[in-house]
Amino acid sequence: MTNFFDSEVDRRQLLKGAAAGVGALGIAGLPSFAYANISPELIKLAGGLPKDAAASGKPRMGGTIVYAMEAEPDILDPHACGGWHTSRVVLQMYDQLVEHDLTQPWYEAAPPKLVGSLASSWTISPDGTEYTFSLREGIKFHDGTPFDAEAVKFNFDRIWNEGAPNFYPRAKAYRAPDVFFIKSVDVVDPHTVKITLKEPFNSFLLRLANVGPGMVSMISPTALKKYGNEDIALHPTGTGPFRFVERVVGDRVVMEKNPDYWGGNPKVGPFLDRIVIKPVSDASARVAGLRGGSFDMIIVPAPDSKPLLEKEGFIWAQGICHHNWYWAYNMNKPLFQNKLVRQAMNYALNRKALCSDLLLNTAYPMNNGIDPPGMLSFDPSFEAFEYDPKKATELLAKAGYAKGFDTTFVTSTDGSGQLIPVPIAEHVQADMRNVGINMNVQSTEWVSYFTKWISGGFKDVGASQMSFGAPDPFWLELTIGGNFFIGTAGGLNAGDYKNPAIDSVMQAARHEEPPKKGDPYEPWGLSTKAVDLWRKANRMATEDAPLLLVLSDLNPMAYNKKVQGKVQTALEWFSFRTIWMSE
Amino acid sequence: MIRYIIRRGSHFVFILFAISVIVFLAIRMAPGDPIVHLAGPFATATQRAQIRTSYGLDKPLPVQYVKWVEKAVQGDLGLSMQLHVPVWGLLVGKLLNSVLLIVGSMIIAITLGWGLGILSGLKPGSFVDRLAQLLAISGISLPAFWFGMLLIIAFAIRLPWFPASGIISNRGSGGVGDVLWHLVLPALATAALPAGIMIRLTRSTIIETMQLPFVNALKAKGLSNRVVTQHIIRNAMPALLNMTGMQAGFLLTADIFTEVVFSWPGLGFQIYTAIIAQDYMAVQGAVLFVCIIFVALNIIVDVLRPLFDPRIRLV
Repeated sequence: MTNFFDSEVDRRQLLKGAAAGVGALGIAGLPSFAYANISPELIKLAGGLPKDAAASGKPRMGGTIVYAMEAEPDILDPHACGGWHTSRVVLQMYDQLVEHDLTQPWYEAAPPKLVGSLASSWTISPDGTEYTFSLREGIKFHDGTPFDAEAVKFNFDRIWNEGAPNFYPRAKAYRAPDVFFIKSVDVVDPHTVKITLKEPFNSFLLRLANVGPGMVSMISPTALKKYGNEDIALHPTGTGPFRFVERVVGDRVVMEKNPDYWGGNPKVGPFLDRIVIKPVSDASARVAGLRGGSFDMIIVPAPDSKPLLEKEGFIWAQGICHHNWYWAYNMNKPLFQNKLVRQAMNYALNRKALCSDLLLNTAYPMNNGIDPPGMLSFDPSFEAFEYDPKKATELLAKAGYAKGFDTTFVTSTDGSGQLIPVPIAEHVQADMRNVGINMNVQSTEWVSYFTKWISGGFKDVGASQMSFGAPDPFWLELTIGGNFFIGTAGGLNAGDYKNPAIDSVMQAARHEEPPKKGDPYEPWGLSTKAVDLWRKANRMATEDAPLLLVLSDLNPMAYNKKVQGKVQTALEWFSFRTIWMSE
Repeated sequence: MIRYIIRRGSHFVFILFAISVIVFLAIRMAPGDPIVHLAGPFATATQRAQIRTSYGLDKPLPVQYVKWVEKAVQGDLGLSMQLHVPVWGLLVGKLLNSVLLIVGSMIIAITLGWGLGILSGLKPGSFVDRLAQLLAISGISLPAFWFGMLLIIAFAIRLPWFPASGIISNRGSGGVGDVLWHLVLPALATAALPAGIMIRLTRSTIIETMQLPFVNALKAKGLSNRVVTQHIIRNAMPALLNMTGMQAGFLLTADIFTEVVFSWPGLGFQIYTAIIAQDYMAVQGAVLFVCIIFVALNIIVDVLRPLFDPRIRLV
């Protein structure tokens, strides 16, 4: 397995190996060995290659960056925080055993390959149930506690082992898909940990590398014992490139460089002395603060500020991502038990117009099936539900709704990753009206919406909307699968969709053997066969249409010219480790 | 006076009790369940129940209320459910920031409101009066968030004189000068509405006062215009003070729009965030806190009134 900190040296080499079957794309500036998901069409839809791709120079040490984000962070506990916005903060102070390579931009790989972080290498038993991790030696947590196999076990006890004294129910609730299949966690020797699974689960590495909500980071056991499961959030203590300095609720979170960072070197960072993170909920206030010089970098700038910011010399960065914005049809309603109706609505929606006219090309139209572009199983060759109102009308007539029908779709008014839900919903509503469907839109604010959504509270509406996703194809099963959470509260399958044929393909996909050496998908821990099965499931599910597909966010960010080395990954998260300030 | 304060104090306790019950029930009646939200997307019913118990929210409402009040009277407002920090600490820092913003904007509002209000009241129909009316109408009708944005575009982006956001410089070490420099634009934006209201109210109070018989009496006695004006202002003072106290109390939470636009970490925005997250403890604590301050401000204004109006005696 590759080493995180050799990645600067051999990343391109490795990608060459990984890019089986992908020839030169012949686009100026685009590496000719890009990963299979990337195509010229995709790059065009994602808004093109970044204009600052060539910017570089020798990284300058020191300096402070001020980053304004979209909301007040939740608790700073990697195991139990909600939302990507908090995860992006917590991530900087912690490391996971395995991570996505955050130095790899979206136009090189979507998602970035997996690299060892606190684990230097790992082996997977041939039957796919035993994962043995060799841990990097000589690493210390921010409080001086040595990182070793006991520390790993202590952390897994917290998030998974209900019998352990330090077990934390809230952490297990957040980490459920990561720890679903764990049977035992054993210390083999001080620098080796073996995790045994109840059944083969080839997405396990991807789950360990996943971020949002929260992540399987390693927290100092000493700090956990000292502060307890709740108060550790006030004293984040990890091994990451930045250390916690202070948090003033409603105003800022401050971090400083970890001078003893185990992976620190002048080539890969960390370079910054200090990171100041400001919660600024109003998008136009973030843009104003960037223009006025109060902030160096902002996330989720208002789409309509793009031309202005670019004219004033700011960098606008965006790229494909695994962030799916969709409606889940309510399968308890006879109307939506009719596949033709579900398909008709998908044909009636002009996604490209929505993305270009309303969102000014800051979002990707979901015309390639359910799996979004940043997901490993994304299938660019699969074209689904191109805008075709005529076909939609035909399908409706065939379904017995020639005159259309009335229904109610719900969404939130705001919230994590929701973009501008009400205007998007109204755009969809207008397209539906063209084919005779009278779609009422109801919206409520985020917390009450989310709590109702997550506890199966929308049984009386036509469909409920959500925005979510992961680089890991297992996300499809969490979202539409019938094997998890069905019949209980919780889980992502809001429409109660169940299709045994697709379920069995998805189960086979996650049971597939670990990849052989040289398999193009080895850098992600999956075999080609597993990815092909996920793609099959994606095609079957898309055709059966449990969701009204809308768009995938391109995760836009904007920053001033002083900010260098920022890598726009095909992920919802990024590292400050690569960033440096030119002045 | 002492008796008055005791009597008002007992009203005060009753008001606090009523408010505490209302806010305790209202936040629980709002749609949504903070525990479901806290427990995250993958929580099972059992996990939710465990978390609910750990916050004491499985107990009957009267028990929850009594526990909360017991602690609150000892000065412990509990822990924020969302952030797991003491609510008290969360609020005090924010209150100081809000007070700073309110003091800054009240200085501007009083200068403009009383100054222009008195001038235009003394000479209705004059140029100054028309100018004051224009300013007053603008101040009242321009939404603070919009006016704030205009100020940012004009004086932080086009003319980079003031910072666009925050209370201290993110890159510097802070200091009093730094805070005052950050205060200018938010204080102006916040002052617009109370200044507008105060210009209009001051003007009408002065005009009313000028029509009282004592003014003619003073003039008949041959007193100079300056002295007559002094008497008019002194007579109008109780009304002006009352209205100023109300405006300052109102700003405690009404400055939220400016706080959002300028990322000013104040009390209004803190309460808004707590409500959005359905953080029961934080909302209850914060509303009680604001209520105490608001009532206290009113008592202070009442106590000050006899100093300006000898006819009023507090009994």
